[in-house]
Amino acid sequence: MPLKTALLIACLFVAPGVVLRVIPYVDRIIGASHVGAPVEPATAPKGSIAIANRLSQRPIVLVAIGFGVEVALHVALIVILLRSMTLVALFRSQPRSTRMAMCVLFVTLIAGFFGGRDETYPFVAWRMYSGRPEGDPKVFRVDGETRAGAPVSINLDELIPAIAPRRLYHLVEELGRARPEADSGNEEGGGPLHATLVALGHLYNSRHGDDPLARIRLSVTEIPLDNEVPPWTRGQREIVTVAIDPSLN
Amino acid sequence: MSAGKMMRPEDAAWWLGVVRATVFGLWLVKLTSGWLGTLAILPSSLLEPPFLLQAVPSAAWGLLLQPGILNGLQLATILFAALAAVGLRPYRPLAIVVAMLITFEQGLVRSYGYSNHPELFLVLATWILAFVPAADGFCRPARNAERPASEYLGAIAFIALVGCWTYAAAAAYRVAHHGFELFASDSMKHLIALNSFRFGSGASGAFVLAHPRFADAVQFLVPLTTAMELTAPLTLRSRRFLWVWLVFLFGFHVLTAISTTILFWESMLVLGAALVAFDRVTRGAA
Repeated sequence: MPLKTALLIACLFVAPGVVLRVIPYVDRIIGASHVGAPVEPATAPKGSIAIANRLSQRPIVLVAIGFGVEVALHVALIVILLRSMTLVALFRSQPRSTRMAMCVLFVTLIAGFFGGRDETYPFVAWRMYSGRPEGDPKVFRVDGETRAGAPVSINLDELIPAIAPRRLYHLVEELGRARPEADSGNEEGGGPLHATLVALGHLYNSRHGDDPLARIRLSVTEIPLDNEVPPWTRGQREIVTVAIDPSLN
Repeated sequence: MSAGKMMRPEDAAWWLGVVRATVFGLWLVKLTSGWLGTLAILPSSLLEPPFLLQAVPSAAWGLLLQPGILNGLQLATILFAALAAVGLRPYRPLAIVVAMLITFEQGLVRSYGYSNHPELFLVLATWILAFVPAADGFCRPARNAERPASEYLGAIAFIALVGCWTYAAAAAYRVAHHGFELFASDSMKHLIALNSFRFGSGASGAFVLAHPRFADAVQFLVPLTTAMELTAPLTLRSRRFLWVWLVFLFGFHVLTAISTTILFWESMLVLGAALVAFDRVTRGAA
């Protein structure tokens, strides 16, 4: 396939995704909103130039350049494949309906890569191991205390394997992060975190009737990355402890 | 790959059948890991369905989120997935039903606050397999391949293409927006420490913390890995590179599992099967 034709087709494939990605930035592009401020020099990553870790903090020009590079990489890959006589012949040998379905699926996939969100499942952005999160890692833990007073570490994947791997952990982590630090400690009332921990506590007790939980707790601890000797985790803080009503088991 | 020698339709159909059995077989493994009905214990206030599942009327969620209903849907999915894995006819309706049920169930688990990626390629592959002649080979009862070999090979190639592009997309985003951090950050140390202490024993996390130079060395693997991920689609252009990339695929996932406790075994197995199938069929035409 001629290079120009391949380029044109590649651009057509990525165009919907580009539009989807650009739409949220329209206001910033036309200058209606403020341009993101660069990161403060004092918090700049050590040994690197001061480019903000978060894209939302970067000047729009840098974000646009990055997106341009991303699009160019996708276009280049598509062009390389379209220039293969064998692959093009293979595609042309498919029934017409199959060819159309493949094109629609591929365009939707690319659109998801560029502009997808959780809500656009299953056509979402694949952005794994991208960048370095700010600050030191924080690890959340769910553990409990039995009526006999013994501590119990709760494996969330074992508790609800259907939602595994790790989705339940991330859910609890998000709820824990959303809870203001000033509210640490016992929680009398409702709230999604309270309700979730109560539900998990009752589920645990339904399987451990001989040694049920009396309390379930969410805590967080930090892992200082500049620490070269144990203990590796420091600053453990309780987020909330919830009592489990034994009469509901 | 030479266009001169014809591929045998039986071979191509057989390998597409292998991919089919792999995908539906993996779903059987995942679906039998735990009861979907336990999701019903989570507070309904946490439920934020993706757009696809918002087609379900609000009033229906109260009925759907009952343990008996969810477990029933799961059992039905297991049954149909087993039949589709074997390639029983009528295959297409069976596969479409499985794809719809799987899409709903995977959307449901992602409706509770966190959406990640392990099963997404599997979902897409299931839909592709539902609309291609994937039960003309490696199936029971055995049957003759009725389509041209190129049709089966095209389906295999497309599944491989979709899988490869998920790796390429992640790499392209990383290069474009976090290119500098690939080299000049401690992102790997952060990732290993975080996941090791979150989901594992903490051993690999403790090791990288106690050995900062080792952590720096590991950081150099990131640009190399990213380059390999980015070039994944090129496996469809070169058989030699395909096998190099397969070695990378398995090595990358094993090393990632050891260091960060993250293992995308679903993608690894399905994409591995699709690429091996692609190579074997095109080898017959070489």
